[in-house]
Amino acid sequence: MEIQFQQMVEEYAPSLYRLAYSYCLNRADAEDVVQEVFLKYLQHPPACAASEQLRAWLMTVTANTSKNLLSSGWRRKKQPLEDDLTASEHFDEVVEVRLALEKLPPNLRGAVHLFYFEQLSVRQIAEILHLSETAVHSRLFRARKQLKKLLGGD
Amino acid sequence: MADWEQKLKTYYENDAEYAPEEKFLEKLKTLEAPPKAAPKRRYYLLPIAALLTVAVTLGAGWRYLRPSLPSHAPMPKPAAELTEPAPEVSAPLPDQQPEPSVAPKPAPQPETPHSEPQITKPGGITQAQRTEKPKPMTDAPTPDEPTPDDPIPVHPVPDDPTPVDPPIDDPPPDDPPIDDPPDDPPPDDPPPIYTEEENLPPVISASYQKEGSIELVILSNQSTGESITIDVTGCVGSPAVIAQGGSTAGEKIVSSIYYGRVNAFGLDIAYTLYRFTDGSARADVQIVNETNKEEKT
Repeated sequence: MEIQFQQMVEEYAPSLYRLAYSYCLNRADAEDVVQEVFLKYLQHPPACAASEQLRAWLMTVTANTSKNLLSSGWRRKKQPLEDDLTASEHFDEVVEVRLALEKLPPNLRGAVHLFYFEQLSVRQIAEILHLSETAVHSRLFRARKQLKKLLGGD
Repeated sequence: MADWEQKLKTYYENDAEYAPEEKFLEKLKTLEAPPKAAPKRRYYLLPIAALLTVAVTLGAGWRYLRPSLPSHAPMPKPAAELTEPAPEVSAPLPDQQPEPSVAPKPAPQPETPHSEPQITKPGGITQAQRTEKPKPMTDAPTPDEPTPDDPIPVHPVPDDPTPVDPPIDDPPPDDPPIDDPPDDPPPDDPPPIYTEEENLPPVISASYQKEGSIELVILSNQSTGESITIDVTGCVGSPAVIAQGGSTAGEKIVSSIYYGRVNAFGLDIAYTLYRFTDGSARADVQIVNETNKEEKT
């Protein structure tokens, strides 16, 4: 059981963290969200057996926990510390995209992350976020429109 | 791929913040399920249980002590509480007979106090007793111990309408009416033995005096022919005035108390007669209407 849990953490924790980070844009909050997701798993493990179903369940819980964290009154009053941006050759691009993503609403950021980074289909995103495919298409359309405007390009 | 999409992909690949730290992942691997929370202790149950216990204890104590309180002591049964109607008195109607009633007033007895034994009503006292020192209610004379001064209850004279009445609580249905006394009671009957405790009522006849008043004639003391006039003006709904010639209760020792009930002019009158040792009397009267609705006076 313990070995299974460690393997599950190695397998799913990075993607869950990135999804949480796409919502929170803060390392500490993202880590809190991931830790809470795994605690929920340990307390009430889902009945799904397939790994795909387990992954979808974990991502759904991560998205909901992140949204709950963002909507909490404590989080609204809190002033997060600026994360250190590691200098790299794409430092300017990273900062530019980071600023652009911060201007997006959290629900649009989550949809963009799942679509462009996790490369999930619209149907999978709809299942994870408990949305209709039309709603996912709408969110992706609005996110693309804003990112195109913020980041430039054709 | 558009330019902004390329920038986004580059961001995802190069942002160090976008990848979890190894230290964090190692900590996640050691994560354990928290122990199940202990059931919440319901602290509010303790005061509620204490209040319930106190309430039950007080209630039980009150139920136990309530009969012994003075306010709940058994009261003497008033005349108005008599459930069974008294035998009707054939009193004349007001419009038919303006004069006082022809109810059988006590016939003038020959004044032979010593030659002839004085007749005593059940529970009543004689004139001689009134003039003498008061005696307790339980000192009623009995035939077994006659004294020269004490009256000896003997068989009633034929014209005495007073029958040998049982207690008023249970009057027999065949109680002879006052207007029709038995002419010739059996002479061989043994003399009745009455005590004050029996609380037998005197016979009372009612007659219409004037508008709003009824005269109650008490036949128990035939030597004085005592009568009590009761003002029953607006008899139903207004209090009736207590009789004339009475004494204020509590001032003198009551020698006897009678309960009785009489029906006059369609009025059911329940009375409580107090005889005092000085010879005076007072009657507390309650008018009970036809629907047994009591009008307390």
